[in-house]
Amino acid sequence: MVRQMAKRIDKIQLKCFRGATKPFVLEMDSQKHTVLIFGENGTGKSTIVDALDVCSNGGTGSLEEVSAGNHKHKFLESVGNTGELEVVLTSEGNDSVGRLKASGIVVSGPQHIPMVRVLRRSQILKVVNAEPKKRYEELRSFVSVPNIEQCEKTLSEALKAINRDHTEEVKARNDAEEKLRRFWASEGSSDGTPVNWASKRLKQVPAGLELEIKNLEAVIKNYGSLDEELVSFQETQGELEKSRKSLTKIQKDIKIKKDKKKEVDEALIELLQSASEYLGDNEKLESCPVCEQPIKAKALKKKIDERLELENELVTLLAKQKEAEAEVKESLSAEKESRKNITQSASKLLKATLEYQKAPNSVIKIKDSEFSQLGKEDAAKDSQTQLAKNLYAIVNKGSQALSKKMESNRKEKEQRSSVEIFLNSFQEKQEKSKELETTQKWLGKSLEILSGKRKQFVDEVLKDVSKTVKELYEKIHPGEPLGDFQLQLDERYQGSLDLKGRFGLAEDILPQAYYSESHLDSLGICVFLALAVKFKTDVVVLDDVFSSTDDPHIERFMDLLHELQSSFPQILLTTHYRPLLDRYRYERGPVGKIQLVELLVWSIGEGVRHTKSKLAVEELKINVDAVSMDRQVVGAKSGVVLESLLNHFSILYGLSLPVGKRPTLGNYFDAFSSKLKSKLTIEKMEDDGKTTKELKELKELIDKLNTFSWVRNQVGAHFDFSSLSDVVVKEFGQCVLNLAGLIACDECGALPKKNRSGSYFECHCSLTRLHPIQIPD
Amino acid sequence: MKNEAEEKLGPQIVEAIKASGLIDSKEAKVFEENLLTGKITAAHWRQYAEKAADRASKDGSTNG
Repeated sequence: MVRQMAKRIDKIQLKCFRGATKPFVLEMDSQKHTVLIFGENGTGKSTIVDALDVCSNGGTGSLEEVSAGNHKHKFLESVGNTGELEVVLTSEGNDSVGRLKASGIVVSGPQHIPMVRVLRRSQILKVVNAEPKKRYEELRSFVSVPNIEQCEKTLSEALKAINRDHTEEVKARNDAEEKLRRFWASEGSSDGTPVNWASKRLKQVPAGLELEIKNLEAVIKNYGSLDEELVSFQETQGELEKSRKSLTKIQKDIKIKKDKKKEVDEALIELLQSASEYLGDNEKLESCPVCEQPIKAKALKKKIDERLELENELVTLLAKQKEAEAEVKESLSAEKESRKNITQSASKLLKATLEYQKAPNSVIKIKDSEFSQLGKEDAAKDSQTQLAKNLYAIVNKGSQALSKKMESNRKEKEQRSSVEIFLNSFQEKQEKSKELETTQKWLGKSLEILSGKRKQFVDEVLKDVSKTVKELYEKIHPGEPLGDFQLQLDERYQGSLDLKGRFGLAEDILPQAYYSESHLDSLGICVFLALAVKFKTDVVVLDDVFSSTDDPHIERFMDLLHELQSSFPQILLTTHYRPLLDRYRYERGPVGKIQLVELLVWSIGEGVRHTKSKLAVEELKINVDAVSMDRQVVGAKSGVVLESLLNHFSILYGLSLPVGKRPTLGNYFDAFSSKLKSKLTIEKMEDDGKTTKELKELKELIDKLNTFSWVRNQVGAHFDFSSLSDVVVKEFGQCVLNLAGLIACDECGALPKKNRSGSYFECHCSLTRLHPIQIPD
Repeated sequence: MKNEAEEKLGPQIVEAIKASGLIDSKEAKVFEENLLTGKITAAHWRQYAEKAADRASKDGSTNG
């Protein structure tokens, strides 16, 4: 909903809304700036105010302050309601219609409805008496900037998140630095700082470290291989020796057997063995394959086997000899293979060793020339093996130093790797934390700007408002030692509004601690009005805000409201205070500017009802002009209006009246001095306010009224058994109307009472003047 | 719904934020719209700050 130009409310129509159990229509007089709705308690004032509030501002109006659960809007419907709730606000010919939905009152119609600001009696207490936080809540709609506050909140969150990130990065950086510090300390704490030391150390890359480790690994690996080959060679040699010994023994045994049995023909035995095997394989053979003579194969085999049995031992030995010879042959082959492997391993070890010993701090030194024959094919196999063994011996001698060196190199490598990781981590976190510091600064500065501007803005608004409050308050309570009100945000707490003032010489006091209830009421209303003046407000609604204020202050307050008509297009005032209504009915205020509405007694069957309040002079005129005049009514009403007018004179001129009793008309007339009467003059001005339109002395009329004053008592207040004619009564009434018509301003309807010029009294609009300003000497 | 106070305060903040260097002239319009509708998130603020830092480092400025 967008607020645009200022607007008035022309008509309110209610159906089934709160007290309006029957349709209610209130039309606003477009010529009157202020609407005064008078109603005794329970006649429907809050119903009308709530309708305006709910349609313009949402919510549930005065129900907001009632404990009625979360669905208070349900209670906006009239009790015993049988129809649909409807609120129609008419503004500039357009109707905005509010209906009750599940979420509350939903308004449809023109987009631009008047901005209505409502002040209730209960809010006054909160504005003035409440704690600073609650006071802020009450005035929040004026001074809050919710969207900007939301952005300020997210900015604050962003800053907090950055602070957290920064803390984590710094911690990680410090951890990395601490780890570097340990390495640095273990290395002697050189180069100033751990980071400098690490950077320098990583720059000084030992060129051969990786190569040396690689070569060392090759030496150690090939040394191990050669070691294994030598062990294996030793085993093959053992096997060879063992098989040779076995063969020698068998050969010796065969020799002994042969020596014992000289006729043994080894060749024959072999022949017989072969023949037996042959016959075994060819049992059906019928002739000898050598001599081709007929044979019986089975029988012949049997005969040969019997002969061989005789030579059995020898045969066995001969068989073993064959096996032993095969074993020797096998061992020789294995030995040869082993020698070959030894040579190969030794060659590799030699190569690795020669490569390794190029390192400046090599722990092994061999002469290449000593092993020049190693691996050469034409070299004798024993010398090759010996060279291998020599090489092995040299390396074996330095093997412990090699392992140590290897361990040391690996440690060096690992440490460098760790230092590199921690240094990189340190540098990365350092860079990141610096970036975050920069972001932190930007966000911090932005938060400072945003927060500062918001507070400055609100403070300026409050300062401005405070100034207006002071001005308004001094108009209601002129010359009193209270004042210099200051509304200010409490820097320590968000959404907290302090209210301070002056009491005599004491400054910066809490008004609620020193001021009377009526002063606090005035102050609360002034704060509200000042804010409404500062911020665009179309319709100001003051809902029964007077309770402890006395008549003179109400008088001044109403004058103040009339002065503020240029600030608001419309003011709506409700009251249960009858003197306020009568103030206008008897023309003590600018009745030409105010619409008087009087609410009638409420009932569930009739709902909220109202009637137009008539001015006292209007009522009198109706009765005077009546065809069938009620002489008692005319007599009584004339007396009351006359009394009101004379009372006005007595206040203006400080006329002496009896103390301790209610003055009579006679007392008022007696109080007029002849000097005053002779000078009393009404001056009516043209619209320019400078040219006199009419000048009328009042003496004659007052004297005439003085002669009629008994009519009031005789006809208007007592049983009348006289022959007084209606003509006299009517004339009395007409004279009172004449005086009222002369004194009351034709434009604003108010009696002259303001002393702005210092030389006459004038009405609210200054077009009617009363002379003199004081009783002549 | 925009409110009168925000419509008065918003431009003042935008000018001050622009003068600080957090946003540049091109970003000002969108920034103001988002400010007045409460749509600048924490992530947006961080982006603005990082971009501002980037601009400042390119300009050789120490602003911020």
